[in-house]
Amino acid sequence: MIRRSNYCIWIIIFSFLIFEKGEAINNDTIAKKENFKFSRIVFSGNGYCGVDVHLNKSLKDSTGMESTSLPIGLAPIILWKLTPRLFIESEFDFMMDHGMLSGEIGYANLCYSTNKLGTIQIGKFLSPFGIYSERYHPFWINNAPNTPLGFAHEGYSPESELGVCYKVGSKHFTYAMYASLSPKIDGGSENVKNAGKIIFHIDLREKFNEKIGFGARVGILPFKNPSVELGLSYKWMQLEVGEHYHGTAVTHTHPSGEQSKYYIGNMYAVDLTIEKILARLKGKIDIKAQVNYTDIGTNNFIKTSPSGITEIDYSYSNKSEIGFVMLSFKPILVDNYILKRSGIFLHGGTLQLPIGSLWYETTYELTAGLNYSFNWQNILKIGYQQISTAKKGYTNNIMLQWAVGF
Amino acid sequence: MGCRFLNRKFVMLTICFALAFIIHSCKTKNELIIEKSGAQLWGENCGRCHNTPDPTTYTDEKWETVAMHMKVRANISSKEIVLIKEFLKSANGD
Repeated sequence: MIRRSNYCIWIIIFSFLIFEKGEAINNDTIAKKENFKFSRIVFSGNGYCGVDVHLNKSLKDSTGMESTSLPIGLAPIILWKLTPRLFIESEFDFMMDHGMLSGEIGYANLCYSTNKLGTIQIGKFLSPFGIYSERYHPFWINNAPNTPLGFAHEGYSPESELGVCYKVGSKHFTYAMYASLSPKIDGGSENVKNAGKIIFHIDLREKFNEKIGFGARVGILPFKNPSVELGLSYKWMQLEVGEHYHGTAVTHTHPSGEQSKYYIGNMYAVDLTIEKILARLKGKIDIKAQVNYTDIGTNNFIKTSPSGITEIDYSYSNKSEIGFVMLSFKPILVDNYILKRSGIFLHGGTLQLPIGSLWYETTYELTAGLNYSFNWQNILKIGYQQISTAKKGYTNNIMLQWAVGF
Repeated sequence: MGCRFLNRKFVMLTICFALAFIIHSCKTKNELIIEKSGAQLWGENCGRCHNTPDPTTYTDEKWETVAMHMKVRANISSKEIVLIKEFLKSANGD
C-alpha cells in the first residue's frame, strides 16, 4: 500500500513536469526563457541559539533535568522556481538540545499554480491546521523565545502533513483543503503511560499509517486590509490502533481478507490574528491566538501479560484541548532608533490532556519579556517563564535566545 | 460507526465553509474596488506575520522565487503578489 501510494505521488509529479514542459514549448517565449533557470534557486533558512535557565532546584532533583540547557537549531531552506507555475520548497531541520542532535525534513513539496487564485502542494507540507505551524514556527518570526505549550515538535498539534493540499487566496477569504496520511496512536508498547497519545510527528524513515485523512481551513479577512483574520480549521483522521486498544474502533476488512482496526478522530481549531498600528501609543500591537480541540471518542486500554493475565484495564474519553495567546507591542513610530526596534511580549498557553488517561496533565504557561530586532530577520529575546502543572507544581525559567533568518 | 464523524460540530463547520464559499462566489464584479499599491500590500501582507523585508535583500529573480514561496505560505492572491513583486523589484535597485 505504501509502495502504491509512493508510485501515485511520483506519477503525479512527473505528470506535472511533462505538462509544464509542454505548455512552455507551446506558449509564449517569456515562459520559455523562464524555464529551469538556476538563478531562481534561493538558498535561505533560519537558525537560533540560546540559554534556558531552570530556576527550580526541585525539578532538577526529581527529573534529572539539568539546571541550564543550550538549545541550538538550524533550518536551511531551498526554494526553486522551475517555471512560472511550478515551484519546489524544502526545509531541513537540525536541532540540538541537552547534547542530543536530531535532524529531519521539515517540509519538501512541489507547488503548482493552477489559476489566478489556487495552488496545489504535493509532498510533505506544513499543516494548514490553525496558524502556528504554517506561519509562526520559525523563531525569527516568533517574538518570544519559547514555543507555545503543545505546539512543539512531537507535541499535540499537527506540524506537517504528507499528501496533497489545494490553497486559494483572495481579498476577503483564504481556503486550504488537504488530503493526507492520518497520524498514528501510541499503543503504549514502549511506555504504557503514553498509551492513547496521537503521534503527529511524521518520520519519513518509519512506516506510515496508510489511512487517509482530510482537513480544511477557511480564513476570513473582514476588513479592507488584512490586519484581522479569523480562521476555522477542521481535520478528520483515521487513526491506526495500537495492539492494546479496544472500544470505539472501526474494523476494516482489506480485499485480501486481512482485518485492521482504527479510530475516527476529529480535530477543530479557531485562530485569530490582529495586527494594528496604534498612533496614540506610537506603536504596533500584534495579537495571535489559537485553540485546538481533539476528540477521538472513548478509548479502552487493556494490556495483558503473555500468560493472559490482565495487567492494566481502564477506559477514558480521549479528548484534549490546547491553546495560546501571543501579545506583543513595538513602538515603531517613535523617533529613537533603539526604542523603535525594541518590543515587549506576553505569551499565555494552556494544555488540557484527557482526564482519566495515564498521561493526563493540566498545564498553564505564562511568558513575558523583551526583544530587540537588529534588522527584519535578526532578533534577540529575553523572557521569564512560569509553568504551572497539576502534578509538578510551578517551574520558573529564564530564557535568552538569538534568532536569525537568512 | 463509520459515519460517526458526521456529528453536530462537523455539520456546523461544513455549513461555515459552505457559507464562506457562497458569499465569496456571489460578489459582483461591478463593486467599487480601490486598487492598493504594491508598497501598501507589501506592508500589510508581510507585516501580518513578520517584520517587513528590506527590498534590497534579493535580486529581481530571487524575489520571483521568494514571492511564490510567500504566496503559498500566507495564501496571498495572485493579483496581490504580482503587485508586491513589482514594488520589491522597483525598490531593490537591481
